[in-house]
Amino acid sequence: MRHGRRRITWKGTALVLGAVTAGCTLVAYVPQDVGVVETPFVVEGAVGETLDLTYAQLTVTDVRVADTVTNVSEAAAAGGTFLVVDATWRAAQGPTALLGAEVTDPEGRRFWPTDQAGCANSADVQPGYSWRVTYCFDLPRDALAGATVRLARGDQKEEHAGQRRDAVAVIDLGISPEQADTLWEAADSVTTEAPGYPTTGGSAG
Amino acid sequence: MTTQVTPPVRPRGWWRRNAVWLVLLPVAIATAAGASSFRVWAFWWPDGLHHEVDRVAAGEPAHLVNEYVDLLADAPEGVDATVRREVDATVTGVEQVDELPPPVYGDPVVIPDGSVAYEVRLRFAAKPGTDVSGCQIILVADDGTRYGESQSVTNLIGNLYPCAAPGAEDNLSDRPEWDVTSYVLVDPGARITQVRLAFGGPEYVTTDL
Repeated sequence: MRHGRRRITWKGTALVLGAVTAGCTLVAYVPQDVGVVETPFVVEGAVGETLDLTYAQLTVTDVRVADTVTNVSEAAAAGGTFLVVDATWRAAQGPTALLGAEVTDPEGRRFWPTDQAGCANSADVQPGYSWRVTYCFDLPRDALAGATVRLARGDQKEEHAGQRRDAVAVIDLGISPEQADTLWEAADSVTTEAPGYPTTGGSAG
Repeated sequence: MTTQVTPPVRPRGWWRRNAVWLVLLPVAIATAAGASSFRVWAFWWPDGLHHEVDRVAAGEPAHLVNEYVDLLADAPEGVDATVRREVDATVTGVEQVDELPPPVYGDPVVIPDGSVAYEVRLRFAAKPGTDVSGCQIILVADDGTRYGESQSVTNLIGNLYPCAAPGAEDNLSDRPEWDVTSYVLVDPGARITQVRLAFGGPEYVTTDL
């Protein structure tokens, strides 16, 4: 195919360059509404409250602190103090891998769980039964007050990429600054239990 | 501003001039879509149950055929051979039970609070030497909830091969027909309408109750 009558003109060049420049400018400077595209559906709650995340129900049953966590084979000492979060999951649709677990402090710092000494950093559940899991987060002193725990099916890597457009539980642990001091001073040790069916009677506060 | 344009003797329209490219466009789109859909068959399709190969009423045998790569050379075809597995499975009973039988090993499992247990009985028929490892006996409720699909918790009574004949030594069948009893935890009040059977998928068979 020959197009002998085509000529490169200043007008055409300017049009193409102008269009490219306009396109690049739009992409670079127009704010993209990532909120609409990527934000998870956050379900907020408190300790002891059962939250419905559509794919599973979640109850944070207890929050403790510990300088060391132990199980039958291992003992782990905290760099700061361990925030030990006991949670119960119940899947709603089918087998579900629960990969997201993170503590956020009021400054926005994010802390991921340890897998030492029987602490879980994920859980595999399926419908038909509840499953108890213990997460342990090693926190500095100034992260305790106002901390929230964020638990979800999607993982929190890559700026919560695994949680886009999916339900996420954010639970206020209800730790006041005064309580944070008390918790920090406490020299407790927690023996973790392997994940399993919840025992009757709930947990002691 | 004027440009020197020689009028063509027989002006051809844009559609005519680009006819070849217009014909090629759907081909290019199909090629691009195919090339970028590898995740569907590479990741999604092999992971989970996606292909119902048979569907029967309760009491009728469901014919499950699927292929798998024999990494452990259990079948005589050799390591990494693709083996075709053919199993006939008949659901002979599904009922709620009040307690679980003693496990093969470990402590007895008590039915947890907030759960009920179902006993599922199946009759298998397959040629001896059929690999029955990785079997999933799934109860499906009327709302689509799938109980027992994850193999790790399917076998509440601790048997490594829930679909192997009672007393079988390993994961290969040693007789032409055998019966199996399995247990699944279910939400109280759930209405079970189907039993599904699979060996890791993506193929599975359904028995309507």
